[in-house]
Amino acid sequence: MKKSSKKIDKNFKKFIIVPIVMCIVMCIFTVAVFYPTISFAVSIGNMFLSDKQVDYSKSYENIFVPTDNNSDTIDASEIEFPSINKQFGEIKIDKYDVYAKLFFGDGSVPLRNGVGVYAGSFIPGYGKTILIAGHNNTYFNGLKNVRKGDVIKVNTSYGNYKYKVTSTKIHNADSKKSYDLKADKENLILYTCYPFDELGLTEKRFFVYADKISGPQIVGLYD
Amino acid sequence: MKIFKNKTFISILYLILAFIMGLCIFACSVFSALRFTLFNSGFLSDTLNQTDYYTDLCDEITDSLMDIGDASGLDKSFFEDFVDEVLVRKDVQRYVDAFYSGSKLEVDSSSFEDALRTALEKYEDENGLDESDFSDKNVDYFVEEASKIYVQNVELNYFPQIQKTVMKYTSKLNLYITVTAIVTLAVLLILIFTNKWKHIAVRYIYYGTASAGLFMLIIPIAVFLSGVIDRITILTRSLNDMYTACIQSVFTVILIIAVVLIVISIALWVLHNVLRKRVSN
Repeated sequence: MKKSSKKIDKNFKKFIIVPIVMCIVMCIFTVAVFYPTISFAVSIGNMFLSDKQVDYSKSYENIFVPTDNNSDTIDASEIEFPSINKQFGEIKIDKYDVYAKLFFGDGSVPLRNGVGVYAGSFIPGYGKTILIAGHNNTYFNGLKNVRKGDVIKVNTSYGNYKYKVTSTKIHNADSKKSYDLKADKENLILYTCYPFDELGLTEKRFFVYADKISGPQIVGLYD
Repeated sequence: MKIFKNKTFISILYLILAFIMGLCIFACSVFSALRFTLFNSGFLSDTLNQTDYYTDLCDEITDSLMDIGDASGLDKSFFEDFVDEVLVRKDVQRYVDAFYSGSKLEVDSSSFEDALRTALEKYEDENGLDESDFSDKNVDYFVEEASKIYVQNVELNYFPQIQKTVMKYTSKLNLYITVTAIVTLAVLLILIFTNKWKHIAVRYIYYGTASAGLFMLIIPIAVFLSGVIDRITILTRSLNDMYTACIQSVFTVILIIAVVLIVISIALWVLHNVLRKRVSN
């Protein structure tokens, strides 16, 4: 009995332990020899890894909940600030039946589903420039009717804003004079491609300029 | 020459030979797996056909075209069935072929542009549009931008950056496979012909094969269990699915080779016992 179990032990050592030990040595040897290549490949690979699975769906997140807040100020801590491609409000020009969902960012998701605030500008209540883009064939087609003195409503979850149109202008798409993102007063700029209803891509843009007439000012931004 | 008669020394020498053989089997298997997957144009074409790459790609091109259509006075319906999957397949296949042949990577969008211009003319007629409703310059600009979208989507991201490396290593891989296979065979012959007792030779061949099989098994198991493939994030769904499928296939091939090596090892173990029994008898 003892002799037979000794034989099994010896066989086990030879046929199980030896390949495992050799495999470990092989691992160490390979890693040591190819360390620069392996670490380079791993760091390149890490560039394409995300913590969570990527979502390719065309849906978007909506954080807009209508409010009747008509106070003069609102504390920044009470606001859920929007991130790119999130709907955080709506825009209306009642006189011309213009209505669009308002998104943060002006990429394909916002412009497919509504209009978008250029991420380099500001959201309503900041006291700065709000630059909003939309397609002339869809949500901003009605801008062609807008005239000086018309009222534009922008509703967000933290307050409802009104802006009065001061002028409309046509600029080239690459014109730097068409907007001032450093302005010290709250002003709304809507823009779309021009001419309206024309077939083909155009180089001109139609701008609507408006100044704030009501809506809460965001306070405590830099506390 | 006394040293060659020392049993321990000979065992160590054979273990080193078995180790070299295992290393060469491992290297040869990995190189072969790469050569017949990532470094093979047929593999990529098959992967593109097996995944929903072309369907997803056509949807993505259509969505992007609809976006500029919204800025160009075109109804969404204009692009609904516009993107031709047959043309997309042809252009992607040409791109893949150019990649593996080392030719310049470019997409010929002339067929797409012709189809777009024809569709636009039809649209103008159907909607009663005349020259007052558009300018040729704006239509040309639209076609140019649409063509750019088509080209960007047909091109396979990161391929231009890795083309030179792939070309360089495709020929080198053949050499590496040959060298490692020859060394494996040489060690195998040394083990067989320098051993009086064949079961001992088989045992050392088993060590080499089993260690290489185990090593090859660790890599795909680690990759599959870590879930790293699910965390790959690439710009679009079509590209993400394609790259994920490619990587999954490479590791599946490595896993299959590992299993084959382990099955061979088990067969060698059995053979060793049979030969040993014969010697004892």
